[in-house]
Amino acid sequence: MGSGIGGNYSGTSGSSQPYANTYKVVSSQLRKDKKDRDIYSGNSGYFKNPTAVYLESSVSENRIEIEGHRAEGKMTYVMDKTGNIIFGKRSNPNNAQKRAPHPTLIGGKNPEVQCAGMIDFRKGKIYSVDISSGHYKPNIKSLEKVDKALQQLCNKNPNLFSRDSKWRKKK
Amino acid sequence: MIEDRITKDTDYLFDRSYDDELSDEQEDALLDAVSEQITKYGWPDTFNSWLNFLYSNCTSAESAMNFANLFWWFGGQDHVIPEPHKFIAYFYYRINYDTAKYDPNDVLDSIAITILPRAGFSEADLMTNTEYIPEKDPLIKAQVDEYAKQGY
Repeated sequence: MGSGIGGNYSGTSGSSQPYANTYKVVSSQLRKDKKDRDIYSGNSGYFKNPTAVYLESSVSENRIEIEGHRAEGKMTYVMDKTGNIIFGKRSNPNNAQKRAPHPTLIGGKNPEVQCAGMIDFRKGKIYSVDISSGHYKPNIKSLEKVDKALQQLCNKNPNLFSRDSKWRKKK
Repeated sequence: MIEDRITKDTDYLFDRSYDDELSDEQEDALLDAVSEQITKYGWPDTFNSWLNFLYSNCTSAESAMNFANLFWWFGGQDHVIPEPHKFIAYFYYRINYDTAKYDPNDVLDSIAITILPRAGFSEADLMTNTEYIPEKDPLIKAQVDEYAKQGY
């Protein structure tokens, strides 16, 4: 049961943007989203995912919680321009037949991020992160920033991390 | 008998509530038991045994979702799942697609977007299909219909 930085990050149509300090939504996705009223409104841009929370403020007794439940499964995350990790569920509150893409974790016209992908929780503990975001397609190098932030969090409270996570093993 | 032993190990792992409050030591012991089972019997036999438990013991929405949460915690999704659409469909069948009621953490979505790309189904790869939704996947829906037809 290995873990850590990983994810399905290969292929051609899913290839990454060149490395940058921050990323905007890739233009093809933005164009598509602008036509979808359940995701984007002309006045305010991307809606704000109501489940979006700062990782560090969702701690409850050595577990990460979201909406009163232990975090479990894969959720979307972004690292915002100031270095906060924000995560949330994929479910779209505007339409159960759709999902809430990464930009909705911040909301607005074209929210910029330092990195984005999926974060894997196992029984409320952080297990791994990757860069699976078709909206931002961040460069793999940007994952180092997330890795570093999580290592700092792990140094402060290793119990928030799965025993099989790379950060817990490194500590 | 090997089959009896693997079944006993599987019962130990899954005949419990995901919501049980366990100490870190108890949780570690359970994860160790998962690793030991896979090492001892190999993933294909282990998964078959888990599947037998699912089909035999998890016939309500609640028990199926309890299994799904344990499956995720135990890391079953880190392995290749044979007939992945059929596996995921079982849960949607049991909960009648009512994820709002039975799956607050979107664990079924997580299982689908993990095991399908791993099995080569790129339509569930979020890098290329950001809007993938398992409940709308025709291959999953067909399997849900099949369970209903077979009277599971």
